[in-house]
Amino acid sequence: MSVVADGSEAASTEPFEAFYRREYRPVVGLGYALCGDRGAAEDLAQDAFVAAQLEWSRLQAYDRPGAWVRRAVANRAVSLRRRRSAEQRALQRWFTRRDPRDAGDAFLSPETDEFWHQVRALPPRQSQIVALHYLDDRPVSEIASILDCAEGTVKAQLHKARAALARRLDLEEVQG
Amino acid sequence: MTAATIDERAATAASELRAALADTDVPPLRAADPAVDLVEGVDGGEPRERSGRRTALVAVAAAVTAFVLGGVVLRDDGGDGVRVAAPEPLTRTEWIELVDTQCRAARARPELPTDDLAALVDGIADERAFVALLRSTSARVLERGVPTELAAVSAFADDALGAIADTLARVEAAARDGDASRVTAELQESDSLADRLYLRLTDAGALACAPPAP
Repeated sequence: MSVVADGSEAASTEPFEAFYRREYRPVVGLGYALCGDRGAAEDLAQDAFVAAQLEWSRLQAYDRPGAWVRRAVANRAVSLRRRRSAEQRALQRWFTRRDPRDAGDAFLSPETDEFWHQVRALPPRQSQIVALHYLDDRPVSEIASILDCAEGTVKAQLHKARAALARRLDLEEVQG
Repeated sequence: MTAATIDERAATAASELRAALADTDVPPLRAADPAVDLVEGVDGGEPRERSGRRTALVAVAAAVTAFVLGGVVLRDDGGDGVRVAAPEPLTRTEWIELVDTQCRAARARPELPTDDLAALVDGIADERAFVALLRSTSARVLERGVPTELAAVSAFADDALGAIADTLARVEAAARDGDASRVTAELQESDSLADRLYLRLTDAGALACAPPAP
């Protein structure tokens, strides 16, 4: 499955500059949802866009170059979470001052911060799917394309994620 | 919140996050790699020169820190400061993660204002203080002792940091003289030294790490 195949964006002939400016904020949002650190999210976005710029002659022919960037950020965010977990374990051997939870960002309300914290606590694939579904308003077919997996997988994982979030956040799980 | 559904809560959280980022400035795209000195401006401008030296220097700091973490635990305090903690070896995975984290932070640091020699003088003073801190850190590590196989690398690091400090002093002098071409040449030399030190330390740092956890 490819991000080229079935996207809703028109084939792009726009210059990279316009693409970058249009997509930067939502891509940072996706990164934040998945890694929980605004600075790191901006860094992840930069990494992804730098890579996209280097490949732009190829990517701009894609139906949805934005999906390519999202896949890069979603995967890198999960990797970052893993790395930070390991780093946290290492640092906790020396220091006790760090809160094992995310540092949190004051720019979000506690409720919203808690929601995204719980999203990040899901298995990586589920957290990616939830972020793309709710934050990026992506339908199942596009999420499957972005994450390079089957639509059935997206549906099943989204169902599990919703159930888990509803449990952890004491919410009703209503099929949407 | 018990009356809410997961979809409602998610929609609220998504909306709030999007709104929080709506006013975020879109920064210029950075260089593809710290070692790459040319970057095409996303504003449509011509490719412009960027000094990768500050990032190279901080990458060196990351490498120095990571290197000594293998035998003598040391970490930076989030800024330019470095402090020593109790000795405990890192695993190789942890070491790589720390280097990666610090290099990422390093890349977020501002570039030196190479197009403004007066401002560069101030920037270089900061850089020199930073390198001095690294050297004193290195000296403290050497005092504590490092594994035999790493002693030569430690000495190399000390020499290289000294050479970088000397180069920075020459950059500052050239900037004060208003000699832009000399500034450029010395900065390139400093970059080169930093790159070599970084590579040597990252290679060596892995040797100092504990085996991966099973």
